[in-house]
Amino acid sequence: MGRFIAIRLMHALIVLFIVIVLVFLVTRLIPGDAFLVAVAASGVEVDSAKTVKVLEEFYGLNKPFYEQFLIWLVNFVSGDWGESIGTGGDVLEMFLDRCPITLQLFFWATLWQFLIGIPAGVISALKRNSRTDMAITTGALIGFAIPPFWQAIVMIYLFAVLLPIFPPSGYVSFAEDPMGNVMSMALPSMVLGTSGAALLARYVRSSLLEVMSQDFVRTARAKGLGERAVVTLHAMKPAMIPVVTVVGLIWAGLLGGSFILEFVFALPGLGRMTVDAIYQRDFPVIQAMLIIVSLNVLFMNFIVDVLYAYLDPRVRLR
Amino acid sequence: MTAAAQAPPLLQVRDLAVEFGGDGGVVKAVNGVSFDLHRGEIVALVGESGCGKSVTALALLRLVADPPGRITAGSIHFDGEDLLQIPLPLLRDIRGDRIAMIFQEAMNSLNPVHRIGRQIAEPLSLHRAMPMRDALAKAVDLLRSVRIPEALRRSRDYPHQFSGGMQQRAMIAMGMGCEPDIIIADEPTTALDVTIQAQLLELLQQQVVEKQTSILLITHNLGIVARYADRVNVMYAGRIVEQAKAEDIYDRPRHPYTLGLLQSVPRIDQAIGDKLTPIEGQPPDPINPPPGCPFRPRCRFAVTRCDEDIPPLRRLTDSQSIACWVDVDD
Ligand SMILES: Nc1ncnc2c1ncn2[C@@H]1O[C@H](COP(=O)(O)OP(=O)(O)OP(=O)(O)O)[C@@H](O)[C@H]1O
Ligand SMILES: [Mg+2]
Repeated sequence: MGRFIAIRLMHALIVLFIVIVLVFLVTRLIPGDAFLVAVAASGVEVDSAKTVKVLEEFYGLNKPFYEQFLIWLVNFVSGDWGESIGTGGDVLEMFLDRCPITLQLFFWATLWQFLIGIPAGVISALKRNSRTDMAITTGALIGFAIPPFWQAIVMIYLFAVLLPIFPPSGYVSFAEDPMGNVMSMALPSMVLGTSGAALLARYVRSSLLEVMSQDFVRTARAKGLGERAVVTLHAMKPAMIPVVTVVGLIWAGLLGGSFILEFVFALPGLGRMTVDAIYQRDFPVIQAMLIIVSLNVLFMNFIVDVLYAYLDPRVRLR
Repeated sequence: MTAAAQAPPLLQVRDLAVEFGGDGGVVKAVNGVSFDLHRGEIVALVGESGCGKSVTALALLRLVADPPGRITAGSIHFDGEDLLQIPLPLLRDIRGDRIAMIFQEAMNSLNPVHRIGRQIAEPLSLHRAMPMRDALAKAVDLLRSVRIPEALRRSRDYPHQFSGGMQQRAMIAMGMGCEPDIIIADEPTTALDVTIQAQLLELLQQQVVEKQTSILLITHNLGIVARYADRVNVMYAGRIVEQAKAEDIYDRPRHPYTLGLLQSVPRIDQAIGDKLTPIEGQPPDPINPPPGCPFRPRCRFAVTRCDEDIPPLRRLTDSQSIACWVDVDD
C-alpha cells in the first residue's frame, strides 16, 4: 500500500508540473492586454503604446519566455504569487482569505452527498422495484436534472422566505458566530451537493444490485449470515468500487458548481474572486486559480486512487 | 451402512420443485425430486449439465435466487423440521453450521475483497461464537488440512492470489469448519488435477468415517461416484430417473439414460477397441418439454406409452428404483 501511494504521488507531481507549464503558456496566449485595460480604465490621457512598453519592462514581460517562466515558477513555489492587477493585493493573501469559505462549502456539500446519496442508493437497491425505490429513483433524477441556480432560487424561496429558517444569502464567519456560520452555509452547500447526491444514489443502487446477484453473496448467505450482515460485511465494499470513480468526478465538479453558487448566495469565496479576475484580465489571479483548480482535481484523483486501493485488493496488489 | 439405512434419514427430500420465471417462459428446473440422505453416507447426484443438480442443492438451503427462482412444491425434512417451512432466522442457524455448502464455482463464490483466512473463519465466529483470533487460527488449520502449502501465509491472501484449484480447496475448508452434519458438495473437485482430487475426496470421506458426516456429492464424473459414493441418484431434465446403490448402478443399470451415461464414459474393465457411444441428441427444451417421458426423444428403448405418460419412480428392488416404463435389464 505504501508503495502504491508513493507511485501515485509521483504521477500526480509529474502531471502537476505539466499543468503548470500549460497554465503559464495559456495565460500568455489569451487575447486582450491587461495594461491597455488598466490604462483605459485609469482615464489618464497618455501615449498608450509607450506606457505599455514601460509597464512591460517593469513587470519583466520583455524578457525571454523561459526566463519569465522560471522566475515565475520560483516565485510561485516560494509563496510569492504576485500582485493582483485588479486590486493590487497580494494574490496568495487574497487566496488564503477566500479559500476557507469555499472549503467549508465543499465540506458540507460532500457530507450532504454522502449522507443522502449512499443510504438512498442502498435502500433503493435493497427494496428494488418497491414504491420507495421508485420515489428515490425519481427524486434522484429530478435532483440531477434541475440546474443548481434554479434549485438555489427555489431553496431560497422555500427555506429563507416562506419558512425563514436559513439566511437567504451572505456569509458569517465561524469565529464570529459559529451557529450563524453553519446556517449561512446550509442552503448553498445543500444545492451544491444535490446533483452529486443524486448521482451517488443512482450509482450506488445499480452497483449494489449488481453485487447482490453475485455468487459470493450467496456464499455469505450459505454461511448463515443475516441479510444485514450480508449487505454490510460482504456486499457494500465491492459495491463501492465502481462508485469511487463517480465520487472522483463529483468532487472534481464541485469547484465549478461553487463558482455559480457563491454568486447566487453572495459568498466571498474563490469562485467570486476568479470570475472577477477573468473580467479584469487579472493574470496573476487567473494563473493561481487555474493551478489551484488543477491541484484540486489531482488531489481528488489521488484520494480516489487510494480509496480504490483500499477497497479492491486486486488494484492494491498488482 | 446397513445399520444407518434402518434409522430414519437425516435429510428427506420429497417432491421438490423449483421454477425459474423469465420473459421467455417458465423453466421447471427441478420437477418433483425425492431422495434420502442418511447419517454417515455419501450420496451422489449425477447427470448432464443443466439437468438441475445445482438448483436442487441450492434449494435444500433455500438459496435459489428469488427472483427469478421459486421453490414451488415439496418438503425437506431435516432433524424433524421442514426446512422449507421454518422461519428464516432458524434456517440461518442451520446454514453453514449443520448443513454446509461447497459451491461449484469457487472463484466467483469467494468474496474478492476479503482475505481467505477471514472468509474461512467467518462461519466459526458466527456459529461457534469463537473470538476472531481463534477462528483465524482454526482457519489456518483447515487450510493445512486441504493441503494448501504455507497455510499461515496463504491465509492472508486474497482469492485472486489463489489458483483455481486452491480456491476450490479453500471453499472445501470453509465448508468443513463447523463440522456440519451434512456437506453439500457441488462438483467440489472439478478444477483439480487427479492427485489432489483424490486427496480431497479422501479427506471428505474421512469426515464421513470419523464424524458421521453425510455428504451430498454432485458430480458428472462416474469414476468418482464408483469410488466414493454409497448411493447414486441419476438426474435427467429436472427429475430423478434412477436411484441405486453405487455398485448396482455399474453392474446393472436399469434406466436407459443411466445405461447411456455408462456407455459414454471409458471404463477400466472395458476391452480395448470397444467404442464409446455418447447419448444422441440434446436434453429437451426446458421451457416447452415434450409430453410424456422427457428422455423419450433420445431413447433407444421407447415404447408407445412413453409418448403420453411421464413414468413415475418405481421400485425394482429394495435399493433400486427407476422412472421408466421399460427396464433395460430385461
Ligand atoms: N438463476 C437462474 N435463472 C434462470 N434459470 C436458471 C437459473 N439457474 C439455473 N437455471 C436453469 O435451471 C436449470 C438447471 O440448472 P443447474 O445449474 O441446476 O444445472 P446443473 O445440473 O448444475 O448443471 P452443471 O453440471 O452445468 O452445473 C438449467 O436449465 C438452467 O438454465
Ligand atoms: Mg451445477
